[in-house]
Amino acid sequence: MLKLTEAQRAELEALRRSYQAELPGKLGLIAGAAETLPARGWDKADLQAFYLLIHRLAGSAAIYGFDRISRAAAELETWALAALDGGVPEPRRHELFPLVAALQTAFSDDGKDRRVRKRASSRAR
Amino acid sequence: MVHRPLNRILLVEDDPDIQTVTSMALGSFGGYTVHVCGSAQEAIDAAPSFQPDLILLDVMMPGMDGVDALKALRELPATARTPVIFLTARVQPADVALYNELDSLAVIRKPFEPTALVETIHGIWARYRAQAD
Repeated sequence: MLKLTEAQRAELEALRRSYQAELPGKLGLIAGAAETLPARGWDKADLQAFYLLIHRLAGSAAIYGFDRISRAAAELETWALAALDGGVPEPRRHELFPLVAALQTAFSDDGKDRRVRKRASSRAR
Repeated sequence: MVHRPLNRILLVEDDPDIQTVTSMALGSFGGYTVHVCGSAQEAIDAAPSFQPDLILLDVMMPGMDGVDALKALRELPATARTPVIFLTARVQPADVALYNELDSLAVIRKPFEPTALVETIHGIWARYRAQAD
């Protein structure tokens, strides 16, 4: 593994903190987009926009080290792709909000984990 | 063909968060000069003046996707033979077969760990140069 200097590690950690600070906003957008879907009759353009939000979160969250959020977003991404491909029949509609709730839970868990890991690594020094 | 050392990387990625961490890792950890493009069209416009040694290309982008972007870049004299690495979560066998058909140098699966990305690119480039010599 590439050995980073202290300065490089700090740079990466600063980026991660900046990303973490933006997560509530991203989750808010996703929750808002999810609310719009039934309100606007599961419109395909809305589904596409929703998919793009989720797809980006699933990808970026993992890269920044927020694995739980990434996994929960990937589940939502699978839902969105199925909805885009096969429409949104009644059973599929009921799956949406539990998946959004799971994403919000993952956000809480990932945030807690990072705070615990940071305290542990501070104590180790 | 003389294979240059790897200095200049054209990163084509539409997600701003991935742009940020990837360009930081490549520039700060890898020491490369990185030009970031948020779309295939931006890359087509920037490539002739930037003259990249390597192109890192996202596949799923709005508008022109990475596959069509590669085909378009191959039409430009500046990038007709520039090595391309796809950065993508789309790595099903059929996808990878397509990337190979397009003569990409490699495929790096998303998500990736930023420091591991730099090491992976080092390794890919070293093998590429060794094959050329």
